[in-house]
Amino acid sequence: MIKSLLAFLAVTIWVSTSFATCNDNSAVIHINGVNTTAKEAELNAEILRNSLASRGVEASVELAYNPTQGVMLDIIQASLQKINESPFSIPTSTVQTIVGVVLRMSPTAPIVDQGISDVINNALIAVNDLNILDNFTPSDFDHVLSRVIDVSEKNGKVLLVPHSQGNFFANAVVGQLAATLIPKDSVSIVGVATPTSHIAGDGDYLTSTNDQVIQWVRTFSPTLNPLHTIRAVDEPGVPFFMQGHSFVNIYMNPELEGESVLIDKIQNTLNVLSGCIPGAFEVIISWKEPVDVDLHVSEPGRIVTTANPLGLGQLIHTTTTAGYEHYRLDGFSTAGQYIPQIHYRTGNVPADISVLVKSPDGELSGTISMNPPDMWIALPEIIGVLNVSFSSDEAITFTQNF
Amino acid sequence: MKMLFDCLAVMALSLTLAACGGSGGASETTQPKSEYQPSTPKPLSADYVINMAAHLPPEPGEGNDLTLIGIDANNNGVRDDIERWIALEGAPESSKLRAILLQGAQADQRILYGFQSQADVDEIRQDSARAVAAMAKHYSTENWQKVKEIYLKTFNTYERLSMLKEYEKALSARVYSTLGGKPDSELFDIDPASLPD
Repeated sequence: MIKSLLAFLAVTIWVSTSFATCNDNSAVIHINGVNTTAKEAELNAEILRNSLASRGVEASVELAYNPTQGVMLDIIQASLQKINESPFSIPTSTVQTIVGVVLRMSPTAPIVDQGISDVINNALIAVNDLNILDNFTPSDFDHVLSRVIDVSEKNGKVLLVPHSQGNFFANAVVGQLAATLIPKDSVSIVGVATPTSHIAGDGDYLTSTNDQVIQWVRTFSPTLNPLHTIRAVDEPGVPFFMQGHSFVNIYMNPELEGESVLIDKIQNTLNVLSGCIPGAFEVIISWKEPVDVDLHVSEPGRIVTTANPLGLGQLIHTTTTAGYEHYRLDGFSTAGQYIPQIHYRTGNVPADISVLVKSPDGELSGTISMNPPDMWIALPEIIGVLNVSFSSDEAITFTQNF
Repeated sequence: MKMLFDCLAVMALSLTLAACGGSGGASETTQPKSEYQPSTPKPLSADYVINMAAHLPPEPGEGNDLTLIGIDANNNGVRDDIERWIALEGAPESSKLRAILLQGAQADQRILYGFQSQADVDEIRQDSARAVAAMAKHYSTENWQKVKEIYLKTFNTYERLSMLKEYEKALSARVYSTLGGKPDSELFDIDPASLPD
């Protein structure tokens, strides 16, 4: 059962899961981004609710409104939050330039050039005085924290789904939990279009490579890598530097690629929070030879690879030489077939690849020998099959064929 | 420092107004901030929505922008200029869409009637959220563009925009439930099934 060039390990997972049962006590709270009116934020939350409901997720969907103070102050506020995220990483002059560029690209440019720029400059010079951040502290989000506490006291869980600047606030809320008695696993985040460099509490996120706002932020400060590509669409009236960023028209657009991925992530995270999943499913491959071997996992509707490591599960460790690669799926949210694939990418010597498959009910291991490859073999030539099935009492049965 | 930010806030508001196509009324009107005036409009009926074009109020004229509330000659909670726009441009061929747009316009207008307490704000928000949830059930970018158009027309002067900002500030960071899970009878002011097109 061993091919010389390429080997695959196939895992078939049959799942029957009732999310309505799992999420009854959960709350999903959306926090909007900059320059969003209350009405637009309400729409964001409603569209999110409709999409989750259509997938059988019965969690209460709520809105924590992050008010707009006008595009100028919103941009300054977000810039300061970004600076505060990584103190001293961005020179004040850079922020000034950024704000200036944005304003000069906007329809208000003539007004800006007639004198407001002096006021902006003075305000941004004051960035050096960190007390200025007091104006934008997340204490305004005490209501969100109170809601988390309220839900938690009823044994429920809270998932924050912030968009854009809302990610700064979500991180702050989770950070504030440390000062409370609320269990850390009561709240999590699935960020959307995040300009942050991390997601607090090891949460998940979705950012499109075509998101111009995040691409722009990345030119001056690190953010989490945009790992998914949502194709560009016509967005009438949206300036080019804002395209690919809309919560409703891009990330929650059922006609584009992002919506199903995002809803999968939300479902997964809710299930992990709620503790109503059988547990993590993991695949780990390891080898000692100085070759590049990749672990890919074909999931329902997508393939997780080193170039695209986030799917329903996630490649949480990869390497290009001797070492290991690790895939973890925290919830079997989507029924279907999951096929781990091992790809000998580059190298000049044979390699013995150790394969370890872990689930809450046990482990399986084996070794596959692979030789230097020169091509990718299509799925029908899969070798080594491992069947994993779930019965109604969540018992897992393996049938190992490699 | 606070003065500086206050100054920026005012300027940002002005910029937003300019970006939203404000009429220039900000410098011409001197209407003070709203004194609290609870809104008690006549409820909209299916008959009115169906036959709207035949019963439209006249063009309100320049006086429409001299007060926060503007002119609502038929006292149905929708400013006359907006009512005319909905009937003649926004949704002349669909009574179902007209009904949803009117419901949203009423909710927007309620903000301009003012609020005294957080309970008032929450009540206005409830109406606004019902209208958004109703629209979300029939969401399209084209329909939502019409909602935005009404929003911009409603808050078209500095004073009106200031009132909107006060309202949004009162909503700030509070947590509200979405309403889309409620039955249609609680979302739609006018039953869509009672409308022909």
